[in-house]
Amino acid sequence: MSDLLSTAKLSKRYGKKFALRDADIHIPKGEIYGLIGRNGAGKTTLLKLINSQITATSGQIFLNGEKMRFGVPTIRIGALVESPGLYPDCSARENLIYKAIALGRNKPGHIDQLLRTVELSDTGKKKAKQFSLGMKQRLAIALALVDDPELLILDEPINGMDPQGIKDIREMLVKINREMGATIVISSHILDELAKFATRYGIIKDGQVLREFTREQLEQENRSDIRIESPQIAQVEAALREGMALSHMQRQGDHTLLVQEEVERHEQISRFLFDRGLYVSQFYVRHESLEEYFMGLTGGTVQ
Amino acid sequence: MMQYLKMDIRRMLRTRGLYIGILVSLFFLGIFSVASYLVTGIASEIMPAGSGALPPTELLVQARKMMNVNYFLSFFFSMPGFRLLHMLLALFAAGFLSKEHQTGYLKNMFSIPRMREKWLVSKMITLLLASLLFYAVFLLACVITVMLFGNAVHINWSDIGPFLGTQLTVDMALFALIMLAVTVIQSRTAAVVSALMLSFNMQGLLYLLIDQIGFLPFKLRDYGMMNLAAQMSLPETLTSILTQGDPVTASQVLPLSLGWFAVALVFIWLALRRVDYKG
Ligand SMILES: Nc1ncnc2c1ncn2[C@@H]1O[C@H](COP(=O)(O)OP(=O)(O)O)[C@@H](O)[C@H]1O
Ligand SMILES: [Mg+2]
Repeated sequence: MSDLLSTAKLSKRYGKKFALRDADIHIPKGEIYGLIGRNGAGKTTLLKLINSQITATSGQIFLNGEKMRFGVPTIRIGALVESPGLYPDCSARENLIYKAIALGRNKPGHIDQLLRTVELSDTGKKKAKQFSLGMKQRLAIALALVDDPELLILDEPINGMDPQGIKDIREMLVKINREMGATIVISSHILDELAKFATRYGIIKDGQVLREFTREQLEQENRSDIRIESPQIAQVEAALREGMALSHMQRQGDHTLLVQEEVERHEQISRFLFDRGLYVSQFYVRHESLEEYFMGLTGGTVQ
Repeated sequence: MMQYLKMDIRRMLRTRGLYIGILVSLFFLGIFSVASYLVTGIASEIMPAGSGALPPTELLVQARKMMNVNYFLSFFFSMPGFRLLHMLLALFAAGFLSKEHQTGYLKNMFSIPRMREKWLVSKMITLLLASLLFYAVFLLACVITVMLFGNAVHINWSDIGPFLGTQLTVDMALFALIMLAVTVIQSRTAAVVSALMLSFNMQGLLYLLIDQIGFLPFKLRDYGMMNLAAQMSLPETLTSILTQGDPVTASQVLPLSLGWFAVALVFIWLALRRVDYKG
């Protein structure tokens, strides 16, 4: 039980329908955990349960191996679940001050620091209702950071944002993870974006956690094929067929061959072609994107 | 807990509804005092029996001398059908209690350990403080009005102490019932509607209906909190003249207001642990 957060058979039922069913997730300290799933898969439900916004139908949540009772967290948690909850008529600072007071952390230096972290220092008296979506999102993240959380929960924080805004948030989260030491759980259906910085993943479908894996596992498992380009592509294919006993190969156009098996032996294959004196202009291992990997597991797209 | 309370007090002091409520109450106090000063009809109501022989102008002069703090307090708290102060406070409470749900700010707070209990206790204490502030301002305004009438101010604490204290418990019961609506339904509309219905005593209609059907061995309306609170009277006031029979006392109202307060708190407590946050 070295996980900062884990769940055991966690379920939430609305009427007859399970929004989440027997979910087991494991999040070690220090990770950036990407929660992946289509709309309606149960991501938000899982995060709301962890944040004590709703009560579980059954199952348990463990924080540092300790069972959470009556929704009272024993570690510092900060969360942004779904849309930001802000006082629209208050400035960024005033919004932060209310929560800071409630936590006994209303020091001007601390609030300044939070505003700097999310790059809202220069908003002054401007009211939250006049903020852009990205600014509101960042203010909500600052609110989640008020108590220096050990666990930061973010539910689709980059939804509906422009590429620059997305990049800003990504860089900010990596910094929060490294410098403040916060473990982060982030859900998204923009998988390419998650793939850039998540260190661990959980795939959730129809309320069930299908699979958890690390970035390394993803990199090892999702090598999909070797792409070979050569002007002598027919000879290359024939040589691999009889010399290496490969059969799962596919020609693409006049100069390209995709080898779809024994991908982990790519060095041997390369050497073999070299030894045979075959000219190869390009040789590389293609990785599936997280998106393709997800599709392979769930049989559909994430969107 | 103290920290959470500090946050709520700051919020309360920055809620416009509180100041609007106070201003509206002062506005009507102004209107009522001018009316009391000028309108002979009111004078003839409050003059003791037998003084009807006086000419109208003389009646007015005599009546003005009788207008004191009790007269104004009682009008605004307890004229049957006219419970302005309860209504203003209930509306303020509705806005204050539902603000965090309406804006979604509440969702930032769930990670605070024992946040639900803190929310309940701290909101109630804050509303108590807001009511005290409201009462103090209004009492002060009554004193000033009496002075403007040119009368000597006499405040009899043994009269208005129990009177205001009881009305305060009625307000606390209203707040708790509104809070129950906010806890369960989680919307501003629910808060405002419950505040208006309760403070206008719409439940009184329901009691009346039940009494008409008559399957209870007693009259339910005799145990309506708002009903009784409005019949509490102070000496030398319109209410004391208009209400027939024995005046209602604090000992009749207190069990009801404290009872409703306690019942509402128990249900809020039960609901807080079960109801999912909808935001
Ligand atoms: N309050 C609710 N009442 C009824 N059904 C709900 C409620 N919240 C979520 N659901 C259902 O639970 C499922 C999971 O929803 P959600 O956790 O929001 O998915 P995601 O965040 O992955 O898009 C959906 O089918 C949704 O319709
Ligand atoms: Mg969602």
